[in-house]
Amino acid sequence: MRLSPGQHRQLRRQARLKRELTAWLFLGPMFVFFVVFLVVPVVGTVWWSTQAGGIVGGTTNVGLQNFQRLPDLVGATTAIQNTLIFALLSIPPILIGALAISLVLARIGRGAAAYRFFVYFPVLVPGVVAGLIWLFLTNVDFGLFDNVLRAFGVQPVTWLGSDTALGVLAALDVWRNVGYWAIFFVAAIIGLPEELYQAANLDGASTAKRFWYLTLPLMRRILFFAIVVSTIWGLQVFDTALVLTNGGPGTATTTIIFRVWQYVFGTNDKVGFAAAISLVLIAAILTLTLTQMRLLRSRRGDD
Amino acid sequence: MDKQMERQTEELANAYLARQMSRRTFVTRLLALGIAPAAVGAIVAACSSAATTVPSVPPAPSSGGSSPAASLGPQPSPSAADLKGNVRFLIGPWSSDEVAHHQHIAQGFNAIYPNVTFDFRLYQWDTASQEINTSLTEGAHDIYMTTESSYPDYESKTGFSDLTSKITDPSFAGELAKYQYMDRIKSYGPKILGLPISFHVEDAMFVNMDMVQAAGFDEHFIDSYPTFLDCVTKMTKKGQTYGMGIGIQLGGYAEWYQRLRAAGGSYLTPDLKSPNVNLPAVVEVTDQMASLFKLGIAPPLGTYTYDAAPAAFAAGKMAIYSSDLASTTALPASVPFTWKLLPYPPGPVSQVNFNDLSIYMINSKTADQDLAWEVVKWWTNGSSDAYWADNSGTYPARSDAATLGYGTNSAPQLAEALPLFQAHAVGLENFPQWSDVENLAEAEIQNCYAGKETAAQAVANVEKIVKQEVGI
Repeated sequence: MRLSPGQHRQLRRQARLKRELTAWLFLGPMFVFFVVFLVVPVVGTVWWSTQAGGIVGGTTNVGLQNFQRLPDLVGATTAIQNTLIFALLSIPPILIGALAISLVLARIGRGAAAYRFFVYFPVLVPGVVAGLIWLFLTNVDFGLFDNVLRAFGVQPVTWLGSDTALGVLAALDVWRNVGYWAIFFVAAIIGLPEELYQAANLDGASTAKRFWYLTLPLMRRILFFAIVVSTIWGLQVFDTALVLTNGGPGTATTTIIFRVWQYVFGTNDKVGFAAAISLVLIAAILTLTLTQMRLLRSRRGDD
Repeated sequence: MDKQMERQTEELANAYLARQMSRRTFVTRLLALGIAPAAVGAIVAACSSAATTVPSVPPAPSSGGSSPAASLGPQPSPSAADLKGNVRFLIGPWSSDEVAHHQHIAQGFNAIYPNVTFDFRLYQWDTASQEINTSLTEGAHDIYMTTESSYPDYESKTGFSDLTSKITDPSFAGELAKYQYMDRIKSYGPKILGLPISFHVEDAMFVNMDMVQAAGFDEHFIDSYPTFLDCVTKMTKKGQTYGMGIGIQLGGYAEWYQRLRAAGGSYLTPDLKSPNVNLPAVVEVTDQMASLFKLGIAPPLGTYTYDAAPAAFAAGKMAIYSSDLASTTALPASVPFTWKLLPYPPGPVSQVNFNDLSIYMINSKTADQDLAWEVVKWWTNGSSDAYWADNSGTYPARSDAATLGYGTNSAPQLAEALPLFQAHAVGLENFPQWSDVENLAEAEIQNCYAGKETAAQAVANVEKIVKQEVGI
């Protein structure tokens, strides 16, 4: 039976429609979740940012007043400063540490699964539990850290003091996240083309040169991805700051998200203010991410 | 008969006298408590004669707002069969056995109203207002143990039920007169949102008197700031003992505030129209507190947490530490030295001791408001208050608690110190943002303790916080 061109077109349309419907069927749940849990909250945040009032009482529209008041907020600079210092203290050690661990893990043959599990284990610990663990580690009288110092005859340190607490928070973050990126990098290293390394060996390239001229350039994309994502996470630090130090002593570990949390739940009639801070943070993260992606694109051009 | 059985018997007897249960039920319940039949007979006989000779409860001395109807006797309560349902509590973690204490009070309630069940959930002090606000919005709980610090805020909103008509009902007047701090609650506004359960001192000094004496002082070292400073300086032994631990109480809650008041300042002027923080005397007291850190008298901030501080005090690592009275429940049973509770020394203007009330309130979203009200009345009656306060390191709000068992378990230092604390008592100011200002202000002042700001800068920043939060 021969089909006419019109029938061919109709069949093609039907097949395409079926494919698209199937695709939408699979995408549908994700799309619903995306709208309900991302689009609606973001739109809600934009609405809240123009309101005065809290979640318990009524609200009134105040336009952009919440944004205008942000620069004068006592402690705003400290919160931004703390967040940026935290990101600077935590992100480089996480990524460098993860890369170093992954290089070692990628070479291990026997018992690799066990080593990877131990490296990954802190990732499985929820932030609140991690905070409690470190609360005990850093206790001045019976904590592990000061006991080690005492064993070496060194004066104990007030780890959660105003000068050191942010560093401890960053260290906790490194402890929690280094395993995640290490496993990520291991997967990437295992997937690197073996023949390039064989060729480099034949050319007499040293281990350092192979790492510098082969591994790093080949992993550039995944490294950039890791930098972008870990920066976003770093700027959102909250749970451990709440459990370990409650933003203190004073405002030593008060981060931007901590202030948002304070304004949403801890104070009255300040949800709009919290929403305004959140939007500014979203805009800052978006700008940073776009800048990083632009850098990544330009590097791709060099490849 | 032990104290617990005594209380339960009394609660049952009160319910019987108030005609909330039949004679038969009364007898059954007494027997269920394990009281010998002969003793039950005697109790029933005594109650029966009391019921015929004492038809009403005499009005107790009132602190104001007493009604001529106070002699009408207890408000008629529903019968046992009328009350049924589940009541969900959101309460503060005053002691490690907090839920058990409430379950004990619930047992007494269930002895009269067996068809009511209870759920108890604890909030954390650090996140109390967040948890309460969220729960209120969701209608997740029926009865809340709140602190006075947020009362002006609650007064300005609709999350909690207005209990004014129930509390001012003439039939409740006799009971109402036994609540000691109702005037204070009424002063916040037209609505009455709850009944008080405790009078709590937020920043008392836990003092190792052995060390004070070894330094050549007695308890009068708190009579002036120079003597106090001299004493804590002499008690400080580098590497061994800090003279005075401050900044340990959760976020330093109200610690600096009471010094602000002692210096003649306050967050707002009495007319609540402008800030009253940035005064020379306030800078002076702030500098005094910061100097305790500079001189090594106070442990650096972050050295001791609220939970760890009692053990450090008991171990002699701090000669004095500043905390709320609930810490008395966290101290080891036997401390190897004599200790006392004392108020802070005077400031340039007055000697001030900050305190607040704990109050039971009802969620306005609760379906069965009458049931919740019956439960709140039970939880704040003399016996319940005596039992709870006695186990929570605080003072009961009921005037009759002292005769109903208060003082059985609590540290004797509490009762001894009460007159001192009452003599210098100061509460919060009546504006809705008080607790917001307080939280932000104490953190700002701690930056000064940490040497990151001068006292003048910190005080100026607190004044800015007041303006921002209040919207002046």
